[in-house]
Amino acid sequence: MKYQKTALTHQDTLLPLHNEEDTAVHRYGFKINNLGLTYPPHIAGEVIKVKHVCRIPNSPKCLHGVINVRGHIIPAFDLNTLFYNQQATGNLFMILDKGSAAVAICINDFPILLNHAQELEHENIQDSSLPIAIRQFIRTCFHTNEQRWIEPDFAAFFLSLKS
Amino acid sequence: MMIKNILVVDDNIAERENIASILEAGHYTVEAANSGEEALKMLESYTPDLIFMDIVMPDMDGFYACREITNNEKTSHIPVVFVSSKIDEVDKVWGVLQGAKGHISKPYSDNEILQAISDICIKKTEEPE
Repeated sequence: MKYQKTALTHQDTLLPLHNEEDTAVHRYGFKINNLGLTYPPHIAGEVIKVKHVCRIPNSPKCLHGVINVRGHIIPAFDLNTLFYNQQATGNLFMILDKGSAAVAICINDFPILLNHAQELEHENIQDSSLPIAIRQFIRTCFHTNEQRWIEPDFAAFFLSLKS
Repeated sequence: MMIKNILVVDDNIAERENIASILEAGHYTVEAANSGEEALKMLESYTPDLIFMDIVMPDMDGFYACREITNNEKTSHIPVVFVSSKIDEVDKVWGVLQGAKGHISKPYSDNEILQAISDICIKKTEEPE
């Protein structure tokens, strides 16, 4: 075997992986009903199709159940029920983050790449048409040609659903 | 477009060596990394012509690493081809959205690996300057 495998030390992995100036910030947007949501670029995201969701008895309606993602049992939320009282259909899930921090969100359509989203001023994004449950967690907001995309603090938002 | 140097990224040493041996038999020069994080670190000082990358890896998975590579001006020209047992249509579509140029399902044949290189060469040739 001729190829070389470069061994890295722990210290190497603590170094910055790239120069931020070289990196274009691309976000992915997904919709809950007509509400466009994005997540920060540093969070791992993945879309999976799940055939079986394990329901949890006596849990809130917005907790769709739990799913097994490569051995990690993670909660799957139906935000359509929480925001609009309409049950999500379909078996597509957006997985945000990884390991024990991961959560799944039911989505009806595939996320899209937001290449040229412009950031809105924070003052512009307090809007009474937004679902109450997410209003206080909005961190920033982007807009493309015809759609506004809200980026909430998902960790704080999902933590609030626990209580 | 000429492909000579290829980076193989897979946490499984048997897979890494298998792909490397297929490529070396085809007279390509191969480097290897065992995670997305290690691959990104290597790319700071090494520029391959093509990357074969697994998706399911500990720490940084292939989707995230591919997104980092294709979003970075210095590395965005390097085509990434996923080699994975994640073979659902959603995985392929999500892979394309992360910037991947191809998807090979495990288990694969030698020909599939070599064909992917030809396909990348053809795509690169057809792309406008």
